[in-house]
Amino acid sequence: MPTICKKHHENLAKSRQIAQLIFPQEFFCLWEELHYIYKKLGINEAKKEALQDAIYSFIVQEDCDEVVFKKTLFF
Amino acid sequence: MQIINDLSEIRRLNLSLAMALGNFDGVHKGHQVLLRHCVEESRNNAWVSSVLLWQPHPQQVLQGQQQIKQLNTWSQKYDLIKSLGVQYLFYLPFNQQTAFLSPFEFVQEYLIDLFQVKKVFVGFNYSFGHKGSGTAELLKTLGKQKGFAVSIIKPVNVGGQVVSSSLIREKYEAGDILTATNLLGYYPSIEGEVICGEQRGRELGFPTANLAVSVLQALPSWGVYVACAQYDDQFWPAIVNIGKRPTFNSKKNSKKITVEAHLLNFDKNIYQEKLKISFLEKIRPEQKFRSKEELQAQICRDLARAQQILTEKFKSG
Repeated sequence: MPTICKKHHENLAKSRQIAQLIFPQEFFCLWEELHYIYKKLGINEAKKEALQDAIYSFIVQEDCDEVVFKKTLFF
Repeated sequence: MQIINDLSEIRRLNLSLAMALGNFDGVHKGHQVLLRHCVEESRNNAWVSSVLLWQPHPQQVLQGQQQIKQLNTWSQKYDLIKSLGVQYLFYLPFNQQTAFLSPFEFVQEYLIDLFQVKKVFVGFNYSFGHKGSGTAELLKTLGKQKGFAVSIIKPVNVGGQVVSSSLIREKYEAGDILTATNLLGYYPSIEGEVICGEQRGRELGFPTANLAVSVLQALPSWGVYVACAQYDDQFWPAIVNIGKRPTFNSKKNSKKITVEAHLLNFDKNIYQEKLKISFLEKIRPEQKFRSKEELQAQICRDLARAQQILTEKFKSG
């Protein structure tokens, strides 16, 4: 009998999250840009490192929404 | 935040320092993440958070006469770094002698002998030492050998682009204030002393404050901007013209660029006072008008557009 993986729903959610993260064109632009920079810096496995950092950067991206008019934004 | 620029005073300090290294031009979102890491780890480890800056900007020394336009004035950079919770700002002279230090000499003479750092924080693309030959990875290796930790901060992106001072400069100088603001995390601004102009604005019915800005300050492209002027700790909505005033300036080859701000509902004399202008959006490029009347009509339209933009921004904020 076929069985359903216990973590089926968790894995499905993870897959959805990854797809949402890497699907936009912006993600590929960032990966490409990082790959170019890392190659120039002579980093080992530049493409893989660039991919990893692009994913990380998109995950942690928080306050990058459009800046709204606030007094705290004047320096 | 304490500023220290005296080597003997630094030697007298006996602090467990965490230090952020870089030029921090713009103190943009990437820099802000780096500085936040430095401040937070310092708090958790009972270290003192600090930033090491060089004066002048190393590129100015290395590239001779070529002037590198800066996104921040010194006081703005100070305010930004302070707002992030950094405790000490070390401000040291950068000269030909410093420029010739090898990465190893820099680590030994500055990070070990002078500052005795516990940990340093650098961006992923940090370079140091003669001709920028040292990389973040090399710093990490040297840290292991010399007994200090190194944290390399990952790139920060906005809309799929790595946040960097050069990208911001490019957008800002092209007049793309919205993108520059999103990359910086605050409104780009300039500041300077109000100087006596030719009273053209007053003749037209729109008096302007003419700003003397440093040649080292980056400026947005020529045109008309909606802005916020900061004078005496108060904010005033404003429209700002940057350019050569082609309607009045007959000299085609004139190199003189003027920055003129018309502050709305403002009627004080502020000659020789300091004024800060934060740019919110570009309204239009600079144009030459056939007559004073045409220019007046356009200024009225610019003001209406500025009011509209300000209303929209206030609503969303």
